Amino acid sequence: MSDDGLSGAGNRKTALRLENVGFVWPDTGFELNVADFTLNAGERVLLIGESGAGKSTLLSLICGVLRPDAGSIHIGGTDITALRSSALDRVRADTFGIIFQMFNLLPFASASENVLLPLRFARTRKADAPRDAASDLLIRLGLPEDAVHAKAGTLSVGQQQRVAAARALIGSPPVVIADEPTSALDSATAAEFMALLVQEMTRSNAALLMVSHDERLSVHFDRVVPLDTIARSTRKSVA
Amino acid sequence: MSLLRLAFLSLLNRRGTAFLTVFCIALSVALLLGVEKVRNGARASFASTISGTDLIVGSRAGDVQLLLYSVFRIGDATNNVTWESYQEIAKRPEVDWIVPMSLGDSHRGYRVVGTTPDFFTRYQYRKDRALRFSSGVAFDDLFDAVIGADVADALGYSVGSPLVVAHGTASTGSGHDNRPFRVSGILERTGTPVDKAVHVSLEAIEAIHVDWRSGARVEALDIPEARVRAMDLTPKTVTAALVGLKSRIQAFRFQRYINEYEAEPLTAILPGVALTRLWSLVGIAERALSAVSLMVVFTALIGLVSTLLASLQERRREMAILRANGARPLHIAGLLITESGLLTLAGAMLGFAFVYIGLLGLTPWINDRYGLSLEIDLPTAYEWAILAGIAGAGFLAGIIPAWKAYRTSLADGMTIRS
Ligand SMILES: Nc1ncnc2c1ncn2[C@@H]1O[C@H](COP(=O)(O)OP(=O)(O)OP(=O)(O)O)[C@@H](O)[C@H]1O
Ligand SMILES: [Mg+2]
Repeated sequence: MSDDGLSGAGNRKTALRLENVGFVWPDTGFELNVADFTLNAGERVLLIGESGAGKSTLLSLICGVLRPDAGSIHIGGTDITALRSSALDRVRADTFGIIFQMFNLLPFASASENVLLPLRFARTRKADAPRDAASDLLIRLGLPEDAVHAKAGTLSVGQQQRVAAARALIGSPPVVIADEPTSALDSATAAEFMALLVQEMTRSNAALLMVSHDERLSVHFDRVVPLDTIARSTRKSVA
Repeated sequence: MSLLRLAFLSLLNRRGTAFLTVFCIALSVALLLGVEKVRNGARASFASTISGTDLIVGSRAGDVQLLLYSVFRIGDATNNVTWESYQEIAKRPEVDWIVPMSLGDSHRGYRVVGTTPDFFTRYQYRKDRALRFSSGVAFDDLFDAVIGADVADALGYSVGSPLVVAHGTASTGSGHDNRPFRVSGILERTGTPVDKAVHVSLEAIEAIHVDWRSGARVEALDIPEARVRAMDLTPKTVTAALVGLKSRIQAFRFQRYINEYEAEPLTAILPGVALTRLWSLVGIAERALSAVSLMVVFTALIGLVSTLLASLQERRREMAILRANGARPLHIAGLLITESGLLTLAGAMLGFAFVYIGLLGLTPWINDRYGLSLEIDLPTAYEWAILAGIAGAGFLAGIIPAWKAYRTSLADGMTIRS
């Protein structure tokens, strides 16, 4: 899979592009500056970097949960930094499937309800999701059938990550963002999870931007990008 | 999954605190509503202490004063109405019926009312309820007495019991021991001052006083009963009279006629109007009670806000998940407002249930014990307004935690640092 991405990267459409983005965390004075970063449609990129370097902060900026202080972030054709916050939230719902390291789910809702959550806020994704898409996805990702309607809080960590993956994939968003999704799993489960995730990514043809410390996972990706090659981070002392 | 369902599931997840909050609100709502019910019941019972009577006539006095001594038997009349005036009024063509009342004596602390047997058919209370005898009959003999339910209970009298009427209204007044009466009938409980009265005939009142000259008993005039019975006992005066008119439309004109009566200064009052005025005087305590229960509701709502605020910290992750999946900060705020609205609504409804279940269980007892009739009808418009107001206040109370959640969800990003 990886050779296909490397050769075709240049003539693909861009999924998203960051230019001269600057962001400062007000409380800690941590500053992140990204000169230029592009993710192509359907491309799989592994983002690596030291702990505290700002990887999670960058993902939050990309999906519009945080707003940059400077620069532009283009998603498809639109600069999301220019959007009103309501429009930005909608773009996020329609564009991104998001998987965290852990604590992805609302523990009091069922697995399938968790999967359907983004459709509650999305517009274009909703049209893409057939009625039983949630349970289909969950089962394809290896969740036991009887766990589909179980409360998310009762599932094992590995099962919870599968539910999170299904939620990121439901309605085929163009970009999936994953922040160390396998770090809470043992290596066997992690490998199985990655294999299934990549299989589904291929199916939906979405781009994947994933953060991980585990460089063995790089076989699944078109590119490996160390954060310090695209961004500069500094820490100002806060008064 | 709708926001409402999300709020509901999240609440269910914290059902312990949620239940306590709901219970707290329910109790406060029940208190507010209960006070309201008792207030209305008390006012209604009070306003219908006397009904079916168009006018009450007495000597010149303030409206409230006349009402107090003629109906509530509180205080004394400063003057009486002469028998001549009474006769003339009774003969007026507008008058359908008239019942005299002669007050001023007592029996062991209970007021004695001299009247005619018509009193028992004409006096009505609570819209159209008539007096009824629980045992015995109206007075017939000169020394017969009809007593109210409280008198019978307190003194342990039954039909046939002897009783002695004292001159004056002090409970230890010197007795007219030589004129013993006999209980001929006992009235059913009404919740009105009738329960606390001893009713005798007008002539009996005269008979009590034949031995008396200007307020002191004259031993020499100790007249034997047989002679008293033979005497002319036509009263010289009455204290007040209940008047029923042939047509209620004439009430105001007839009232003016009495108030401008030439032979002596008289006053006529419309009982309903005077009762309302009296209630507005004594109703202050009742309003204070309402204010207190409103404060209790307010306190419960503050409790609600503080529980919601306390839950925010542990729910930051929930908020971050929602945000990452496309929820707007306004959705997050809406979630909290929905949640506090749901809690308040549940509390208010439970409170309503408490009150109505309580009423169903207690009304017969309250009616029996206090003569207070509480209505178990559907909630009034006012009560619906209270319910809506409290639910509204619950939604408003949600704004404070909602605002806080809105701010943190904007500041947190995707990863929560706790
Ligand atoms: N909510 C926040 N408020 C203030 N400062 C923050 C916040 N989150 C992160 N930071 C700051 O930003 C810096 C980068 O954090 P970030 O989580 O992006 O790093 P990371 O590369 O994802 O690290 P890790 O590999 O440990 O997850 C941190 O050192 C921290 O000081
Ligand atoms: Mg991180």
